[in-house]
Amino acid sequence: MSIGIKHNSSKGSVGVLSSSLPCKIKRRKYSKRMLRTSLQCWVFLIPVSVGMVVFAATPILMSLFFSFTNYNGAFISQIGAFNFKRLFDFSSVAGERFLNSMRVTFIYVIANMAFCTVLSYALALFLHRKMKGIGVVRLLFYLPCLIPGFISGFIYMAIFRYSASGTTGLINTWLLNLGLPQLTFFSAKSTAIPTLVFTSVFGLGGGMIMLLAAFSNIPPTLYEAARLDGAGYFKQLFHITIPLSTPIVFYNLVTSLIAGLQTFGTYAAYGTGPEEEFNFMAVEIYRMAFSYHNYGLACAEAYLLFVIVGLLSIIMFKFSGWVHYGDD
Amino acid sequence: MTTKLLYNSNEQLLLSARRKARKTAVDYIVKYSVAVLLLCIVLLPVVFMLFQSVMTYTESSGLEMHLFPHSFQPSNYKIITGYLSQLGNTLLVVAINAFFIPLTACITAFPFARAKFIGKKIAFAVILATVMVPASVLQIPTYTLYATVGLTGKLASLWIQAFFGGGALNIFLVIQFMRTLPKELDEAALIDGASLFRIFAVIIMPLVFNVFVYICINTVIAQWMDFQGPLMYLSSGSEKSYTLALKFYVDYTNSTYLSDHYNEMMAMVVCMSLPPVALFLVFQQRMIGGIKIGGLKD
Repeated sequence: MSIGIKHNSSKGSVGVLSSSLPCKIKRRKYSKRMLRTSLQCWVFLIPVSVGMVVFAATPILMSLFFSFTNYNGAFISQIGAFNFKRLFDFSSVAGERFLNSMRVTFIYVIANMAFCTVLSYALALFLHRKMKGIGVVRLLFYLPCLIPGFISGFIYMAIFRYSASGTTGLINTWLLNLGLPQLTFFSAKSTAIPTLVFTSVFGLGGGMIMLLAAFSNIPPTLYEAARLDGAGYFKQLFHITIPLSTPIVFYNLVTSLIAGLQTFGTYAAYGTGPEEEFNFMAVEIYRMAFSYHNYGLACAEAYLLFVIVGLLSIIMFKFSGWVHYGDD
Repeated sequence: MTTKLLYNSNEQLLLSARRKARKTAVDYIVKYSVAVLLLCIVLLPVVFMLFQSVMTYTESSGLEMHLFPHSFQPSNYKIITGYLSQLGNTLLVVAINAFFIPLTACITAFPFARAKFIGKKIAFAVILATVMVPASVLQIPTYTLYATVGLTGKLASLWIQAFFGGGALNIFLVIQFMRTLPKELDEAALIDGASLFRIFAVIIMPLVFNVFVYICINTVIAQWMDFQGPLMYLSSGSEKSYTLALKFYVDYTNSTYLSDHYNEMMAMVVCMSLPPVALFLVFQQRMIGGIKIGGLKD
């Protein structure tokens, strides 16, 4: 009979009697079974633990250390906070480049997030219906996403090429044939990022598929009830569809924020763009490390990027009150 | 609108049915045309890529670029023969990653989904934290680490991380999936005296097949087009050990042949895009199902 024994799921049993006795009776914090299970579980976690230490913890600490040195791949000769001072001194070359890369990254990320969220949502809404062949249509929309990222850059370069003399790209050729002047797309500083944001329209399929999955998770009984109550299409949209799909929209926003801040694939096809307009932060870090061999400064920039990503993610989570988690 | 009782109720029913049928027919036509129009825009790069890959040199690099090819030259695709050793390298890297990343993700996810152990919360928080870390922070020291061990320029640098946990996002996906499996299976096995390892190997692993395949396909697609990794770790080695992505990029930047011969370049691009497309077509049912399973409804 276990009258005098309190059962505690994680910590094993503690005797009621023993806690009221005058003398201290030693009792274990965790039961023997718990210890044995824990040991076995940690065996499962050996690969990820080794991975964490070797490929995550050590690099993070090393990066922090390097950012205070002028490591150039071979030796360190100075230690101090000079890298950070240089980066925040916006009149120096490095500081100006860093400021520029922050500017272009932010503009691109914000424009991209807004553009892609709205458009992929509209697209998913449009394709969320039972029509013959809708499956094929959805498949075709997802197809451009499957072209490897940096490769699609080459294709867009060909389509959107601008040149005053010589081969013009596809769209400019059409414009010229229509008698209209060429558009500068990727070749001018003012149109480069808008064109880049526009090319993400070809990648809408990915977000669209997730949104379609989210839409089909909404029980149709809600729509029927709304229709019985006389709700039209837009009322249903704003009161049922949008609130219940906010978790996926939020997930898409956060992942596109984190991914967008680390844009690098553009470097292959576009290089750094007209007047360094495509010198995003990750590209700048790479160039600083492997072209200029200033690993210390690159690590400092990488840490600042880390801080920015962390802060923005925390802010996004703090302000996620609008996310409606359904029946949790 | 004034109601006119000109027709009796039967004819009224018939009329309204016809009106509805006409309305839905117009509806259908409008929606299909909009879809086709949007598809024309979205598929433009794909179509352009396909058409350019069969044009002749004179046509593809003339003073004008046009969409529809006047010539047909499939011999452009011979360019792939120059990339065969890189293709082999890419296949090796992709195969190792595609098998071991889901495997280690399942191994890691099992204790979190199925057992209580000391330090569970802390371990979970640490894994969660790694999602936040940008790749740029990890890359430079990892490069230094590899350089010290002598892995730079060798293919092993691309697949060695596959054995160590498979990425936090994959682990979370598997945890979510394992939670949906009934606990009675575990308990029955425990009563019969099975150890945790036995439960994992014999009971859980066969049941997580769906999500294993999902992670496998995702990894294949991601690794196939990975450009930043090879650029960083393999550039210092010989060309023979490059992956497809890297060799293509190097050829594009080092010589003007590719940027001049757009048709051959596009042929190569088509070849590089084929595996992800083929995989998606074959596995799309499972993959979209995978998104639903790993979705945000617990």
